[in-house]
Amino acid sequence: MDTNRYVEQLNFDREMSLDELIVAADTKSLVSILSNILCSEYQVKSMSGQTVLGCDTCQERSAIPIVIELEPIGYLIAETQDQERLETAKQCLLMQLRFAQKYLMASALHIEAIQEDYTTLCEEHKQLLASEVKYKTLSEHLDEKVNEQVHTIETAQRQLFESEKMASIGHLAAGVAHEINNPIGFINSNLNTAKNYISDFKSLGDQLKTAGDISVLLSFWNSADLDFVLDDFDELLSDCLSGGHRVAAIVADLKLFSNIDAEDEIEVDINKYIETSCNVARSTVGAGVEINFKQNPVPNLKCRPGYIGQVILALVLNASDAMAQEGRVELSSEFKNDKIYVSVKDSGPGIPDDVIDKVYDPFFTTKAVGEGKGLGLTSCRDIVIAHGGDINIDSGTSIGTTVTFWLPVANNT
Amino acid sequence: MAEFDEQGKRLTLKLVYYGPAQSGKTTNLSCLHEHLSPELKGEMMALETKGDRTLFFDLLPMGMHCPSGLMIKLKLFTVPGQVAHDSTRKAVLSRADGVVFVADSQSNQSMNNLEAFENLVANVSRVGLDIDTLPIVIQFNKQDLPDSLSQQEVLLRWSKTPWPVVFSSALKSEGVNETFIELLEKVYQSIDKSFHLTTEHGTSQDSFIDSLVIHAS
Repeated sequence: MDTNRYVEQLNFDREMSLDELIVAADTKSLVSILSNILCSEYQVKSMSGQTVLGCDTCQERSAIPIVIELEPIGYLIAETQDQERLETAKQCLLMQLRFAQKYLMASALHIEAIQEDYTTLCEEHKQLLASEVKYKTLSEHLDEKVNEQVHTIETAQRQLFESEKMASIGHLAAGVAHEINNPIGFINSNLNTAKNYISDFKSLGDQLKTAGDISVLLSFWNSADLDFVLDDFDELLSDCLSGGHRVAAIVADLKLFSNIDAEDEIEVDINKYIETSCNVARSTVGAGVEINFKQNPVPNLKCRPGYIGQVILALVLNASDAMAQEGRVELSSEFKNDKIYVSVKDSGPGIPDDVIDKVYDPFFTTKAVGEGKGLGLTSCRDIVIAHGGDINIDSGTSIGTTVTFWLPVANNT
Repeated sequence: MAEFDEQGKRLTLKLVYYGPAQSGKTTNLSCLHEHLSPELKGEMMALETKGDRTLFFDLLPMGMHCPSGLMIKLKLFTVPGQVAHDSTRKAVLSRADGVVFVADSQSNQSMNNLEAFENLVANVSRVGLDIDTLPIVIQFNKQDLPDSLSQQEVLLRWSKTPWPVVFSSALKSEGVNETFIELLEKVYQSIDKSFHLTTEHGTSQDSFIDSLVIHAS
């Protein structure tokens, strides 16, 4: 049995018997006082017949009821018949019993109240403990959750890069196709013409073999306009050669730009990659766009050049879009304070104030749906920061937009 | 919850005077004790502090006999009003058969009245009683004081509640009996259902009240 709850059954306001009350009374003093008052044998008897005080062999000459609340809880029996003494004795007894009742009720009520407070406290304590456990678990898992989130963000970022990479390769492919088709086109046409010219000379050769007179040969030369043919032939072949060179150059660009898949850092001259990117851009942008690159000597930089090329391409395309495919895009590079600075400037309308804070946000674009994905500047910034550098935009309605980024050149390899 | 003692042929009812500190709960009981002579009357027991503030409770027992021989005993209790004595209030309120909520009519006591009433509602539920069936009478005491709310105002504020409002000035012995009678009527109706006082014990509502509310000469 839980001893803490033993009083639960005993309500403070229960009916209390004489037996119960006498326990809380000062029976020793009471006994002597009653003796003195009554000067005779007496007996205080409870309703159940128990002798609570006095002598149980007392002769019942007088008996008066003891009423505490409304009904008798016992009787005072005495051998004397002196009413005054009996009344005084009864009053004395009542006084003691009333105080006993008061005390017993108060203490029972006190215990009930304490029990209630204790129960409440235990409940609150239990809830606090549960709360504490919850927070402990939460903080233990926090590390886990943080790592999960970091992984998610890294994956998303990687996907972003892939997406942009694909876009720039797409541009490259488009440009390359165009660039190669052009020279191949006129090389083909020139060679066809050359073939015709060869047959003209063949005819001359036939004439040479059969004719006797030089004047016949001369008139054939003139009628076939072989002077022109000779000159033109030369030109044709020069054109074909330069066309061939152009194709070779494009293939070289292609090789450089294909380093986009190289995940390893290599030490390169960044100016070369900027030039290549400009070339790729030239084949993509409108005819009205002029792309100038003013390069200054820079030290070699250990980086992922494919990504840097991607940055330049994105910035140049942005610049030409801003100028609505008409105008000049100016690039420059320089080495200053252990950093390589590269800037791309356009003479467009500038970036409005309400937009400039969002330009780096992923998927933010001011272009029409389907035209821009809104990832260009986001990727540029991410790539530059990944290389330990930073990017900055200077823009206004009268000054166009200049995007400058810098990359640190580490002293150690 | 009325306690029925088969052996002693006694039905015990508990009535509790509840309310904010110093609203006049003890004064109500003293007044009843002084002015009533019910068929069976006991002494008033008060457990208070030196400043006459109820510490545990006050108790006034009274009773009457039914023609059937059944004794109906009423124990009137008051609770300590101060906020900190909530556990004591709960213990005194448990198993109550009726409640008088004694409110202080002074206008600056409105918040205290409200908080004490909310406390009553909460504790009624906590001790397992049903606020919808428990006999309750609202008493707005201290009507004699100058800064007290008008009766119109009080009745308006309490118009949406199901309980009767009685106005009193316990110090001047006004409204105390009326409140008590109002409660006895509601308590009688409540216990008659379970104990068939009218049919089995020969005690009607009127005779019940008349046996208790006998004015002392």
